[in-house]
Amino acid sequence: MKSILRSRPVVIISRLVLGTVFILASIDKIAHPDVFADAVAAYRVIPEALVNIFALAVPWLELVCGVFLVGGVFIRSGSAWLSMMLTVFVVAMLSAMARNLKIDCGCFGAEHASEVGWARVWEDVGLLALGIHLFFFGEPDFSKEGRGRPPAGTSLADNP
Amino acid sequence: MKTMSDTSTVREAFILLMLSVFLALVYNAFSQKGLSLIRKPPVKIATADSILFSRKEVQMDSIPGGKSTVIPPEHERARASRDSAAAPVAKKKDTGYKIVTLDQVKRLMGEGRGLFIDGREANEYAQGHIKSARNISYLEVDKHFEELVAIPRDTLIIIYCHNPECSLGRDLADFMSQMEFHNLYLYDKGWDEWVASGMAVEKSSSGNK
Repeated sequence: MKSILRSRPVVIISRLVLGTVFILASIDKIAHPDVFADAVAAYRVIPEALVNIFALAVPWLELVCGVFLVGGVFIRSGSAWLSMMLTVFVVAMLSAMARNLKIDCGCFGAEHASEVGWARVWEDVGLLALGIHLFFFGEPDFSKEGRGRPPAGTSLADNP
Repeated sequence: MKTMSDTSTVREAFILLMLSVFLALVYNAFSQKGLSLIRKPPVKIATADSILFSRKEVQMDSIPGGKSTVIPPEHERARASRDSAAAPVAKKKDTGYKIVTLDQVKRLMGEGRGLFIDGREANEYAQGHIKSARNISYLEVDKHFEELVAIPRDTLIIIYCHNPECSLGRDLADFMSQMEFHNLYLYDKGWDEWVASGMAVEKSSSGNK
């Protein structure tokens, strides 16, 4: 099983899917920060005063991590950020559902508004699985992350 | 080595965060849609009865699909009445949402005034809604754009959603405000209060009638 998860095609597909989804998800949020801020505020899980800072930073973090993942750079840290964000999104949506809030999920910005619900939760859980996969099995040899990094217990002097 | 790898990951994660924050702040500083870093909560303003119930109105039959009494658009005839010319901006993010109460909604309905818009989803609307209300969910607002365009901009409009927690009503009010509807009111306590008060409801098999 681990060999499949570590295989280059699986890792590349995982990287491209997760990276592309987050790049696409970030564009409309960056273009319409006010709409995304309203969507964030509607969850009522973070203090009102901090909503704008969150709404400004998160889409750019999504974009940067997405671009880096697609480019094969900083795979582990990029997937860690995306996984953390996805975990927060899932918890926030479950919290909204538990409180019976009928709100726009804010997942893909105003252009693709959709109500918080199980479909959105499962989408994020699926993406979270990709993020966790990349965090633990990201392909070090193929990406810059592992390029030139000596195996454990060796030094650069052992790899002329 | 495990520790070194973890340290490297943390360092890279920090770089990603700083890069993102930097780009976000620079973009926000130069964007026409830039936000203030500290957000203020939405302002809700109670509507006085004197504003709602002291107007002369003109019966218009031109609203597609509706029989509501509306205030005519701004032209010379309308200016004779204070309704249109002086109609306040109902919703702007800097002035707040104009809130109406259950009693005011009942009185408006009793007088046959106002166009009621149910901002909830179509299936929820079909299960029950305020009598004669139209369903325009913000989640599907693009589908209703032409319907909205056909409504005179100074029509007295009351938007409702489930309750004050529901943002779909406020989102729709924002959208309609941008379309320059300027006689918008939000029945903030919405459907939940309406049902709890035992008010008459109407059911429909179609979501958009």
